[in-house]
Amino acid sequence: MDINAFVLFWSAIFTSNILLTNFLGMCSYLSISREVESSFGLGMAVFFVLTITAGLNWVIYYHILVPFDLIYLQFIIFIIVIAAFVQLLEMLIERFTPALYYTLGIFLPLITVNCAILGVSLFMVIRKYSFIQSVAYGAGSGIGWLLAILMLAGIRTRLKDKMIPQGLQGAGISLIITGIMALAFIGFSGIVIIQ
Amino acid sequence: MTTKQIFIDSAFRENSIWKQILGICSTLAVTNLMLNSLIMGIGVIFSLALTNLTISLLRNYIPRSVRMMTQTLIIAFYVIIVDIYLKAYLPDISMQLGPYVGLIITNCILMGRAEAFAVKNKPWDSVIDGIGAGFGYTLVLLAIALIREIMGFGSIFGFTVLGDRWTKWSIMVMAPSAFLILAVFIWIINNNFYKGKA
Amino acid sequence: MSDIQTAGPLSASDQSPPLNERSWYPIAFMLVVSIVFIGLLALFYRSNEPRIRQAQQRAFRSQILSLFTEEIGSVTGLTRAELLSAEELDQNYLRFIKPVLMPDGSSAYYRSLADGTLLGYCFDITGKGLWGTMRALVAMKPDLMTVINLSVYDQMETPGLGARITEDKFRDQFAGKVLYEDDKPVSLTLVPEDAVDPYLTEIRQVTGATITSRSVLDMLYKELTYVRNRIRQEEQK
Repeated sequence: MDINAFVLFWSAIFTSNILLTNFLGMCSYLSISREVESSFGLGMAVFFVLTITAGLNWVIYYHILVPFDLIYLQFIIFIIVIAAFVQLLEMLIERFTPALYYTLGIFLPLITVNCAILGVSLFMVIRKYSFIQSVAYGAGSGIGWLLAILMLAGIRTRLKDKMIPQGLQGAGISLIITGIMALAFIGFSGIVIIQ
Repeated sequence: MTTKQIFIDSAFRENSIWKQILGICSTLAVTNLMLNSLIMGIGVIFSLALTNLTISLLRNYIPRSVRMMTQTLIIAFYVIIVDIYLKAYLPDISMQLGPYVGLIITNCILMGRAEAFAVKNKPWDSVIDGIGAGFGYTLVLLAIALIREIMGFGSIFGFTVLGDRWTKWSIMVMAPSAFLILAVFIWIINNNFYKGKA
Repeated sequence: MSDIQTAGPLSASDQSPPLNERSWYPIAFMLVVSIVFIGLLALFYRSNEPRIRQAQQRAFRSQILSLFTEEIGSVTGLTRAELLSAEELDQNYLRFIKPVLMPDGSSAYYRSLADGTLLGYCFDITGKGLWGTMRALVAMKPDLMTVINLSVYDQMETPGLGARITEDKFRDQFAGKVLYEDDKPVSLTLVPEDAVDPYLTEIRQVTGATITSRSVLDMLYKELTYVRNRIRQEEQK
C-alpha cells in the first residue's frame, strides 16, 4: 500500500465516510442524535477510541497474531481489545476527571457495540495498511463519524418544531434524512480510492 | 409468561428493528437480495439463541462493570464457531456467508437482546426470546428485500418476475434506498399498530 | 457443542457470589472468561483445520477445472459433471492441471494439459476491490491473448452489489475476449448493464458497482501483463 497517510486521513473523512458510505456504526448514530451536545460527546468518544484501537489492533495483529499463526482469532481478539480499552478508559475517566465523565462516560459502553470501530480494525487488515496509515485511517474515520452525527443532530434540532406526520417522528424521519445524506456522500465515493 | 407470549413479544411487540431501531447496519447491507437477507436472518436467529442461552446461564456470575465486554465476547465466540463449522463441513454455504460474519458479530440486536432479556431471565425463556427476536428481524429483512429486489432487479429470490420491460431502479440496489423504505415501513407500522402510543 | 455451553458457568462457579463485590473480581472474571472462550475457539479451530484446508483446496481445484471444462471436454469427451464430480475431482485435477512455480517462488501459474496437448494457462491474480483484496483465476488460450474464462474466487465486495462480479452474467462476458493486439494490451471499457449489443471491447458493468467492475479490469491488465511476460521468458528458455 503506497497511499499517503495524509490523503487517507482526509478521504476517510469525506470521500469514504465510514458512516455514510460504508454504513457502519448506525445504531448509536440513530439513537443518540437528538441533541447536538450529546452527539458531540459521543462523536468525540468514538474518534478517540477509533484512533487508539486502530493502532493497538495493528500492533497486536502484526506482532502477536501473525507471528504465532493465530489469524483465525482476529475477530475475537479485536473485539476484546476494543472492549477492554473502552472499559479501561471508562474507569480512568471516572476516577480522574469526573467532569469529563459526566459528558463522555455514559456513551462509552455504547462504543463497544459500535460496528464502525471493529470495521476500521478489519479494513486496516484487509487493506494491508501500515501502522501510520492505520492510525490516520482510524482518526479520519472517527472525525468522519463525528461530522456525520453532528450534521444529523443539527438537522434534527431544526426539525423539532416542524410538522412531521406522527408515525414518522423520531426514528422514521432520521432514517429519511440519513438516506438523503448518504445519497449525497455516495457522490463523493470513488473520487479518491483509498485502497 | 408462557413460551408463546415471550415469542410473540420479542418477535413483534418489541421488534428490534421497528421498535428499537437496532441492527440497522446489517439491514442496509444485505436487503437488496432476498436470498442474502434469508441467510443473514438464519445466521442471526442461530447466534441469538445460543448467546442468549449462554448469557442467561452465566447471568449470576457476570459482574456489572464488565457486562458488555463479556456479552460481546460470547457473541463473537458463537459467530466464529458457526463460521468455522460451516467452513469445514458445508463449504458452499460458508462461501455465501463469508462477508456476513463480521456483520453478525457487530449486530446490535444480539447485544440488545442479551442486555434486555437474557441477563434477567431463565435459560429456556432466553432461548425462546432469541429465536423470537431473530424471527422478527428476519421478517423485516425479507419484507424490505422483497421491495428492493423487485424494483432493483425485477426478481424474487433470483427468479425474474417482472420481465425485460421493467426499468430497473438502480437506487433500489444501493444502500440509501433501505433507509427510505425502512422509514416508510416504520411509518406504516406506527400508524396501524401503535396509534396514540408514541 | 454441549461442553462449550457448560464450560462457562463451571469455570466461573468456583467464585462464590459475595466475591462479586470485590474490586478484583471483574478483572479476574474477564480473564477467566476470555481464556476459556479463546481456548475453546482455538481447540475447535485446530481440530477442524485439516478439514477446512481440504475443503479450500477442493474448492480451488474445482474452480480451475471448471474454467477449462469446454477445452478438456473437446479433447477427452468428459462432461462438466464428470469432470467436477466429488469423487473424481482430485484425480482429474492431477491429470489435467500442472502447476508451474516461478523460479523466484513468488507466484505460480497453471498449465492445462490433456493427452500431451497444451489447452491453456491459468493465472491466479490479485487486485484491489472497493472493500478489500480480491483474487481471481483467469484461464487463457495457449496463444496467451484470448481469455477462456475468468472467475473471481475470493472477494469482500458488497453482497448484492459488487459481489455480483462472481455471477455468470458478468463473468461470461470475458470468455473469448482478445486482450492483446500486436502484443499491446487492448483496453476494455465499461458500459451500462443494460447496454444492447456491446462491442468486442466492451464489458457490461455491474449496476451500482462501478468501482468494483473497474477494479476487475484493472486487475486483469496489471497482473496479466506481468505474468504473461514472465511465462514468455520461462517458456523460451
